[in-house]
Amino acid sequence: MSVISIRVDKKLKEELEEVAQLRKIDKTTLIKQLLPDLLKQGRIQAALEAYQNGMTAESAAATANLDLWTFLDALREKNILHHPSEESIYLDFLQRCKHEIK
Amino acid sequence: MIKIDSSSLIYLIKLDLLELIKKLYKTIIITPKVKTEVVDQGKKNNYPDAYVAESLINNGKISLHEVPTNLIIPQIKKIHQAELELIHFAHDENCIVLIDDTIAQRYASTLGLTFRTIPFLLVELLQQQLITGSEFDIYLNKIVSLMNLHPKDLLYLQKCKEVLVSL
Repeated sequence: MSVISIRVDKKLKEELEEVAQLRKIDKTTLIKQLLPDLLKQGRIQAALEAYQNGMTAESAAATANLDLWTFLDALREKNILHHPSEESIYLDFLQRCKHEIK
Repeated sequence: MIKIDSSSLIYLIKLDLLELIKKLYKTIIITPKVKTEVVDQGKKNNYPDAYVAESLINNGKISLHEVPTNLIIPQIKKIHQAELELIHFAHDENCIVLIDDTIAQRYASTLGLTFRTIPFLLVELLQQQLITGSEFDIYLNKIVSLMNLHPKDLLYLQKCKEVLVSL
């Protein structure tokens, strides 16, 4: 076990104490219970940012050590726009159709 | 014949488009790395569609092909090694590849490789009369909602549909 100490503002400390009291546990136990979910959210956020910076979905998920399924769900939940198809695929198709019409 | 990447395979299963793509391309191929990402990781995280993918592989609807060991795969920033492997595997066998991300599509294009995207598959399905115009719209709505489709794709898809209907 490692020890970390953090400084938080008074309001956050009071909120932690309030939730710990509601749960009938101490603050340290509460924080230990919350951390895994927070870390997962942190990973998802990092992957989403990588995706928005042009990284492929597979690569963005792997960078943040997430499975691809979780990442694709996160893209949908956070309403992140899908990378557009490379334009040439449509332009080539429309060009071929134009020849057919002629 | 078409080789497909992990995210495309996940989307095709979720969109229930795999049977139609099989009619279009006859053979759907994935690599062991794609299987690991889709089936093994999905099962580990209890995604029910991962089991669907596994059964499609087990009953031969999706073919699992080993990548030749002598294939040289470069490392490219922003593109995952499994995608690069798939692209070079497709290039090696002169096969069409279905890839989901712009940067990977551009890379495939620089190799002279023919690529497809999930939205564009709808155009091909309509062109080959495997779906009707109204089915096109139904699948398009599903794609828009599942994938948060880029407006540029939406505009092009509508334009392609108009052109096909007018032919």
